[in-house]
Amino acid sequence: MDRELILDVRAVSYRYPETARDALAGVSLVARAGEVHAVLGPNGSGKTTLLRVALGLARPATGSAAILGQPAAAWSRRDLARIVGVVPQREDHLFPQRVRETVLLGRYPYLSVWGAERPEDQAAVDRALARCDVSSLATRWIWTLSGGEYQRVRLARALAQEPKLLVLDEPTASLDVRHEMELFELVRALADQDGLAVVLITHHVNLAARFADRVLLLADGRTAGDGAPADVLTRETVERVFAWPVSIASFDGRPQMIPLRKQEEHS
Amino acid sequence: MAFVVWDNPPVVIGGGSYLDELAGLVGAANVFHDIAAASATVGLETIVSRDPDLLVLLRDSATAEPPGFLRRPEWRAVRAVRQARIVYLSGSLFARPGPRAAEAVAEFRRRLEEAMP
Amino acid sequence: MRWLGLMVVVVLALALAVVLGPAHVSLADLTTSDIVRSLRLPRALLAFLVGGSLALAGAGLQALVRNPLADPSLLGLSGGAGLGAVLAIALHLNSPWALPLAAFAGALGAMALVYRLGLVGGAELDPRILILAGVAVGAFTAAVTTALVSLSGAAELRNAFLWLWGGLSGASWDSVLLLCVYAPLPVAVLLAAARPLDLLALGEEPARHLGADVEAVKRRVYLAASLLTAAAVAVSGVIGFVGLVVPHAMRLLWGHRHRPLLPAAFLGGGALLALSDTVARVAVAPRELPVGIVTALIGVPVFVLLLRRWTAS
Repeated sequence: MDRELILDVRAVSYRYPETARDALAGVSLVARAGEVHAVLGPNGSGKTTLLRVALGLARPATGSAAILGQPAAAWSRRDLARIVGVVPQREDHLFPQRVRETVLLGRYPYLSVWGAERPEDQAAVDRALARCDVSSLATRWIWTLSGGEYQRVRLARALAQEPKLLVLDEPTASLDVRHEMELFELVRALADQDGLAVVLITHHVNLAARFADRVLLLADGRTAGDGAPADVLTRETVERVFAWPVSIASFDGRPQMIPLRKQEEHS
Repeated sequence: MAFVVWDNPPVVIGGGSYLDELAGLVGAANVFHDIAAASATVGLETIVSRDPDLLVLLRDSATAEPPGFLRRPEWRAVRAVRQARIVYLSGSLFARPGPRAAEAVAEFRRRLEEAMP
Repeated sequence: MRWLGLMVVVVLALALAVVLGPAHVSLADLTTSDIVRSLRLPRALLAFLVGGSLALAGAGLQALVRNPLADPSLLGLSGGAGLGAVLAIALHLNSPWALPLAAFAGALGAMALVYRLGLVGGAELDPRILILAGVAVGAFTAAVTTALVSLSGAAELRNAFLWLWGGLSGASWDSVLLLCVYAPLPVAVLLAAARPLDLLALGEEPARHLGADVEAVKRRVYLAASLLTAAAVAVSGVIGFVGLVVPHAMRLLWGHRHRPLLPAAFLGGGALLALSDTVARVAVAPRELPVGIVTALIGVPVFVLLLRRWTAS
């Protein structure tokens, strides 16, 4: 049986106003329930632009971006927030906030303007906190958390939205190995056990190769590779896209990239 | 009587001022004689409670029309306003003491008698 | 418990404003006294409504421009209001309501100008530019006003500054009723924006991802805060610090979620201005202090404390 089609981005192009070059050209990304997609590419290759187009925040010049069959830009932000939970790369904390309050923000798309939070909202928050193993932190202030705890709390907030699609923008950028692995394991489990579709933007080529079902490799706004990690992450492709010599090893059937020192370049 | 310089906030003439002296010379009592400043901001409530028989308004211009604030509801609480006992003095003659002081006293007395026969 | 405490403070502030005053009114005569009925009561209520409006506008504005030290006076409206008032006096507009109406029109003019300047590329409202535009428009209109006053010989124009510096002398049942009809819409718009403002504190993109219609929220909050401030300036001149200090004081008690914070700021701001006006009326009786001086005497030390806390953390 086919899994539910959730995100359907087809051959989109996008150009920022007053720039000469397409930030995205003919990129596709199709995500179904239970799949983890990793989006890889050097800085400025169009990863974040692809995210904006996929989530209806930027309208593609050509191609189409649809979520559950409806054009992404046609969704109201509120309705879309019930389908897609996002952990953005950066956010501000203008005012101090406690963990539970932060996760409760994920219930916004379900609340009426004047109504208070209902028991089912509190239950969803409890479930999200438990799923991300941060229930014990509920009363802590956000700014007292470690980097790994903070990312899990923000993931819990996205889960409180009860989404079908989870989008993470470099969620492990400054985490140590243990917290990085914990987060990737959690994301994989959310796809396998909870049936979420996951789109993960990351710089960690090797972790992407280990955890993702499919990899989309971007270079200069164009698709440099799209498919299973072993098919996309070949030496030639990786070297061309990242402009650095590498060697590709295999671990547990998954490709692993080893960047080479200058003197180790392929002879 | 009370000299009203401005309506919002109400500014009145106090004791030790030229106008206060003029009032004394024509036999009228400035209800704000006790305020030791040439002019002072007071509450409308204070004007109401001191209940002057008439208000003297100072104005630059020689417009005949009474100022708009006299028709504002909060000023209707002042008895002199309700009874329309208002005297207008124009600035040049009454602003400061000078050689025409005697003329000012006579003019002031005439106006007061007109207003309160 | 906190709400009960706040309500007690509100009732106490209003009660003091009615009982105390430069004129002696005995407690027995309180209900029959003309001074109480036609002067003190409307003035107490107007102080409450104006203070509440300013504090609510301030709380909304701080979240909108993402700066905890923002104050409604940064919107540039007071400069426009002052210019309107001075023009009304200079043109000898003699209606009883000429001054507040002209000030209101001036404030709306300034608001339209600031709003236009804040629309970057004609589409998105940039709150940082909004504040810069507000400061610029405020400074420019204030300069024009000062030029008009100093070039004109008329003493009447100088008195316009007395008015602009803020005070509730113009209070009457008419102005209270006017505000009671006018304020509910912008107040409701701000209260309805409470949850989106929580999201906006995270940044615009994160707020969008959580389901907020960010552009609409920014516009609504700016317009509602401006309309409230414009009305407050029109009936009472520029009263500083209520819009800055009260939201912070309420944050200490209610935290940063806007759903409890916004109504608490309204009640707290109303209580503070009613109390300040009572102090202004009785402290140096029979003379009266400009209420803006009292709010500044209370507000500036609180502000400095907040600034120290804010820069220390």
